[in-house]
Amino acid sequence: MENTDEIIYIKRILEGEVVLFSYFVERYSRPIHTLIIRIIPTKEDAEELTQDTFLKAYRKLDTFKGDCTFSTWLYRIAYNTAVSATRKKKIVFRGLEDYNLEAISDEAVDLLLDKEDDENLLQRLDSAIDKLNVEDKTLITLYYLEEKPISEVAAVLELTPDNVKVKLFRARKKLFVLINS
Amino acid sequence: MIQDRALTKVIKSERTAGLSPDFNSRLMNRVCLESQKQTKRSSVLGLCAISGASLSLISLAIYLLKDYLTFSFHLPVFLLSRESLALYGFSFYIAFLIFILVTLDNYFRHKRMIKKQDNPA
Repeated sequence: MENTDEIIYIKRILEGEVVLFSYFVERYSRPIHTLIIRIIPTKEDAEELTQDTFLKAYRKLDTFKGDCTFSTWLYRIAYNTAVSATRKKKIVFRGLEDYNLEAISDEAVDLLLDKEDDENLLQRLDSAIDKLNVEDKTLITLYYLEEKPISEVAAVLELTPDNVKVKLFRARKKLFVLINS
Repeated sequence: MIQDRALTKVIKSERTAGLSPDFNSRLMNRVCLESQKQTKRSSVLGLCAISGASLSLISLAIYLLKDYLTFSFHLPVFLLSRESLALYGFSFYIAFLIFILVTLDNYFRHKRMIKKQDNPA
C-alpha cells in the first residue's frame, strides 16, 4: 500500500509537482544519513553525500521502474554514492580476510553480541563497526537499524540473498575478532 | 539473528547530532533549481530538434527542386480590370471579416480562461 502511494507520488513529481519530492526527503533523509555516516564518518561529508543521493534520485526518478521499493532503490543510490566517495577520498578499511573466521564458534559470537548491558562492550562494538569494510557496514546497518529483510538488503547490495546471509555471519565474526583483538 | 541485542543497541543509538535543521529546506531548494534546469534544458533541446528538422526539410526541398525536379514556376499574372478589382475587394472583405471573427473568438476565450482561473469552482 505504502509502495503504491510512493509510486503515485513519483508519477505526480514526474508530471511537474516537484514540491511532492519533499515527502521523500522528510521520510528518508535521516535513515539515508545514518547509513552514509556509518561509511563516511565526517559529519560535513556525510551531509553532502546525503544531499547528493537525493539529487541523483531526483535526476533519475524517471528510471525508477517500481520493481523494488523506493527505499531499496534510494539505499542503493546512497550506497553507491558512499562507495564512490570512499574511493575518491582513498579511505582504506582494515582487511580481516587473513583471520580464520571459520574457527570462531557461532555460539561465542551469539553470546557476545547479545550482552546489551555491558557498556564497555557496547563502546568496543561501536568502534569495531567503524573498522569494518563498506559492504559489511552497509549490511549491518540495513539489517539491524532498518530491520530490512534479507531480500531487500540483497537488492541494495546487488547480491543474492544466500550471499547476504553468508556475509552477515562473517561480518558478525569479524566484529567478534575486532572486539577481542 | 535479530536477537543480537548489543549490536542492535549500538546501531540504533544516535551517534551524531544528525542532519542540520535546515537540511530538508536546503535540499528542496536545490531540487527546485534542478527541476528548473531540467525544464530549461528540455526546452533548449526541443528548440534545437525543431530547428534541425526544419533546416533539414528546407535543405531537402532545395536539393530536390534544384537537382531532381526540372520545372519552372510561373507566377499568376494579376489583371487589374474593373471586374477583377470588384472580386479582389470582395475577397479582402471576407478576409477582414474572418480576421475580426477570429480575433473576437480569441479575446472571449482568453477572458473565459481568466474567469475560470479566478473562480475554479
